[in-house]
This record gives sequence, C-alpha cells and structure tokens, in this order.
Amino acid sequence: MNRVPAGSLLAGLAAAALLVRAAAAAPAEEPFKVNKKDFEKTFKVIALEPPDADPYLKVSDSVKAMLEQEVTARLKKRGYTVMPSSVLSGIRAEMTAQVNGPIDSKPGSSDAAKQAAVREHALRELWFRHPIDAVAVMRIRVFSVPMESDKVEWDGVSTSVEHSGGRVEYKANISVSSVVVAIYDSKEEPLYVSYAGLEPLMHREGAQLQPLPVDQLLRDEKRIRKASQAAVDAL
Amino acid sequence: MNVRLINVALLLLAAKLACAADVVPAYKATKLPDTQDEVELWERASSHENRLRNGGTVFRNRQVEAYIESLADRMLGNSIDHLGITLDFVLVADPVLSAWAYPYGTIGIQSGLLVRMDNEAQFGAILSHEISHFLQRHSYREMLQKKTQGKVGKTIGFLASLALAKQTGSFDPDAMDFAGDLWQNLATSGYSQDNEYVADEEGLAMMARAGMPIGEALPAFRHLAENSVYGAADPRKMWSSHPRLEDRIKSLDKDIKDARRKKGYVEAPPADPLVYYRGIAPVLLVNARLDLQERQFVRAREALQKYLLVRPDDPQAHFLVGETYRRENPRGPDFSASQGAYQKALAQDSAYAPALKELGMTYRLKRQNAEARKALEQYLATDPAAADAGIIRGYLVGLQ
Repeated sequence: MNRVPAGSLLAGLAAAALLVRAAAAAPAEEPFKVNKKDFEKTFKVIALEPPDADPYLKVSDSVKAMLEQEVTARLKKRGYTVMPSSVLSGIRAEMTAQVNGPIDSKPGSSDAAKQAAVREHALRELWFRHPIDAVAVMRIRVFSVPMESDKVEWDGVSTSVEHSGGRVEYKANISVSSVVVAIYDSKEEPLYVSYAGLEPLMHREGAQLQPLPVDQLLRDEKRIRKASQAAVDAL
Repeated sequence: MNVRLINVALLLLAAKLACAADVVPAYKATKLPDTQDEVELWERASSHENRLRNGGTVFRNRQVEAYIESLADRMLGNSIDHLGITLDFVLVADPVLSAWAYPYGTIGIQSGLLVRMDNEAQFGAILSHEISHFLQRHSYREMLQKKTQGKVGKTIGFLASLALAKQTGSFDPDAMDFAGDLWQNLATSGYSQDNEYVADEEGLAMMARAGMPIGEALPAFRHLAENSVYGAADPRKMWSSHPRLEDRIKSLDKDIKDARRKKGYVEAPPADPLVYYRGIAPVLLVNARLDLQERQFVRAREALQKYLLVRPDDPQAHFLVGETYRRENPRGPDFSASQGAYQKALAQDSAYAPALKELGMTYRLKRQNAEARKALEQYLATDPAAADAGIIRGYLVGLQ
C-alpha cells in the first residue's frame, strides 16, 4: 500500500499553521439556538454587519457583495426587514473620522486600540440609533478538518482535494473555508449559527499538503453563492 | 494528639495504598529519570511545557505560585527531598477547570480550576491528585504499558496537550507525540482508570497530612462537572469523564468513609475560604475577565465577589462586576446593578476611567443627558488620550 507518511502531511499543515483558526470540523449542528417559531415571531428587523473573513483570506468587495446579496435575498424572502451593512459601515466611518483615522500619531494609542474602539462603539451605536431586533454576521472562516485519501467532507460539502502525483491512501487534517452566518440578539446571545463548506485551502503535492496561493482562493462565484445560500437555508 | 491520630489514619491509608499501587512504587529509583525511555518521556514533556510557557496564555504571579508551593509543602513534607526534585507550577489563564502533571514534577493548573474551588482543601484535593500522578510515575507507567500492548505510547497527559491546543488553535502533532488522527487519540487518551483511582486515594492521604478536611474532596470533584458550560462538544471537558466522574466520586466517598471509620480518626477543621481567596486573589480577577469574554456572567460575578471579600478596595473588581451586569443586559432599561457597581468603583478611585465611561454610557442610554455628559466629560478629563476619546467627544456634542 502506498501510504503518505502522516508525519509529512502534518508537517505540511504545521507550515500552514497560521491558516488554522479552529480545531476541527464540528458535527452538523442545529443552526437555531432558540426555538425557530419564537425566532420568527420575535426578530423582525435584522441589521447586517459588513461581510468579513479570517485574516488569512483576501476577500474582494465583489465576494463580500455576493455574500450580502444571498443573505439579504433569503431574509427578505422569509419576511424579515433587512438593514443593509452600509448602515453600520457608515457609523464606523463616522467614528473612524472622529478618532482621526485608524492610525494615531499620538503616542500610547495604537491603531489596533482605535480600531477596536470603533468596532465596539459602532455596534453599540447601531442599537442606540435604530429599532432593530437582531444583527447578522457573515464571515468566511478557516477551519482544520479531517480528510482521507484526497477526499474531504465538512459543513455539508464533500469534495476532492487537488493533487499531483499518484493515488495515495492517507489520513490527515486539512485547512478549509466555510461561510458562517450568525444572528445575535441585543444581548449578543446567538440565535442562529450556520456553517456551509466553501473550499479546501490546500492541495497535495506528492506526500505533502501545501497551502494554495491566496490569490487562487475565492474565485469560484458559483461556489461562493452556493455556500452563502446554504448558510441561510434553514432560515 | 490530633497530629498523632492523623498519622494513624495516614498509615492505614498508606497500607491500603501499598496494595493498590504495587505496580510501581513512588520514586524509589536512585537516579531520575531512570531509563532511556523515561529520559525521552521527560524531554518530550519538557518540550511541550516550553511551548506552553512561550505561548502567551501562561501567567506568572509569584504570590500565587508561592501559595500553591506552600500547600504542596504541607502535603509532602520532606518526603521527596531525597529525589532532588522540586515541584514547579505552571499557571494557565483558561476558564476551563483543568490540571495535569508533567512527569518531572511540574504541575499545570488552569485558572478556572483555581477559581471554582471554594477553599484550599478543595483545591488541595485536585493538587494532591496531580502530585500523586507525578509521584506514581503514571505517565511513564502508561507509556510502558502501551508499549507492551504494542500501541503507540502516550506520554504526557492529554490535558496538557489540550491546554496547548487552546492557545495555538490547533493540536500540535509534535506536542501530542504521535502521528495519526489526533482527535481519535484524544478520545483514547488519559490515565487508566486504575491509575486515576490510585491518584484519588493517595491524594486523600496527602490532604490529611496537610491538615485538610478530606471530605472537601467530594465537592472539589463535583465542581469538575461544571466544565459543560464551556461547550457540550468541547473535548476539554474530558477531565470529568475519564473515568466517569460519578464513579470516581462514589469511590472517593467510600475512601473517605473508610478513613473516617478508622479508630482515632479526627477530621481536620473546616477550611477558611478567605485564606484561599487571599492566596489566589490575582487569579480570581484574571479568570473573571475570561469568564466575561465567555459570557459566563454569573461565574464571573461569583469570582469577583470572592475577590472583593479579600480586596474590597480594588476599583477594577467593582468595575468588572458592573460589566457583568451591563453585558448581561446591554440595552437596559434597568441599569441599577451596573451603575451601582460603577459607583462603587468610583468610590474607591474617583478617577477610575473605565467606570466613568460606562457610567456615562448607561446614562446616555437612559436619556439622562446631564448625568451622561458629566460622567463622559470626567472620563475625557481623566484619560484624554483614550483610544475612543474622539468618539466620546462626538457623543458629548449630541448630548448638548
């Protein structure tokens, strides 16, 4: 049996350790964290946060727009009033200007602290200014999931990992991305959290799993839309 | 007299232990580590500990470390002096209740475990259990056993690997010490049931030696079940399932009853919780922040109340109590609990900026503009270079 040494595969993963944000594929979970009927009765107006991604991924504005379009379409179809992400973006922009931009010339106040302050205050302000019931977060996230012999299955998706070299049988963990849609109430309690598999972030070269170049990721519009729809399918 | 009676009880326990623990006696080797296998085990464990220590979640606090050392000294006396080994402790900022032993005598302790115990006897029950794993060389023994069985040997406790995993976001294959499916290995890791029972029993003997009431071991182990709040599917809660916690509590209960039935047994006096809270005070504050992040508001408050019993003048703790209430109910409309706590913080330090800000923010939400303006202006006066100063100025314009 031609078996890829697990050590080599794991070493490949270790090289890509920065990609990995979560430990493993969770078993399929019920997306509603509260009773679905209660959710539908109580939460009528949902504000969207601007779509986002884990830092490793470079997400273009067009990909962000696709995410928002799909989520908005589903929510509207189900009878919810949707506040677009531009509302929160606008508050963030206003506050970023108030702190003199994201980079500070003053000593002792880092841009990271300012950015955190803007994020926190903007969300609080969104609730203060607008009569909303919930906030939806859309994010493309990176996970590490188990795989076997170039086949990987996670978050409702089953696919083959691109590879060069002959067929091999092995077990390893691989980095993948998923679209995550989460809806929170005013207390930041999760009401709905759904994961939909997007694409593998690695390919196999002989006995090594290697990260795919970042600019080769998130290029398949059909896949992105499908994952976005799947993440809100239960709504 | 009491000491003599306790010693009798200890001897009886020790005699029972000798039968239970005849697989490998506690360190009798003339040199340590004893064999090449054990050398390698120590090296791997040490490598793991180094990664943990360099990873950012370990916190050093000399006061807490000294307190834990003093408890261990009470338990061990001079019984391990001949080994030339000094116990060491690594404190990890993590709200999950967990502790583990490296094979060379370093004990890992997570902040969540320290904080959830109600007194030093309860913490002593867990600490003595882990010290016993070290004294009985359980990790080495299990490695040898698994080798004999032809399995890949687990070396360090899986709990230690979990602590490392928490901070790296992924299980480190090197730290886990074997290749293959890490999750599968997790499920089969942990000390054997027999070794866990031995450690439980020896732990009781050490508690008695330290003058701790052994009955406190029961609530200590019951606390371990509380990990479920950090996620039902979280493997970190496995501490409480290997072997089944209920079985261990039953077994401990029996051991305690047996010890108490011995002629001349005298129960140690109840442990004073305040002594314990004083010893671990900085950890109470660190873990309250973590529980706040985890949205475990009640737990965070409980830790802060313990902290305030011994450090009532700390504005930071009062402020954090306020934060637990505010974050639990961020839109109000009743902010009396959070505002009360912010006021208490300000009574301790009238220039405590975070309390001024949040007081102002809650007044703003209640449309009490004059009060909001006053508090936010004070905030800016106290911390004019705050990262959010510009935003607060914007609020003040709106409050005119």
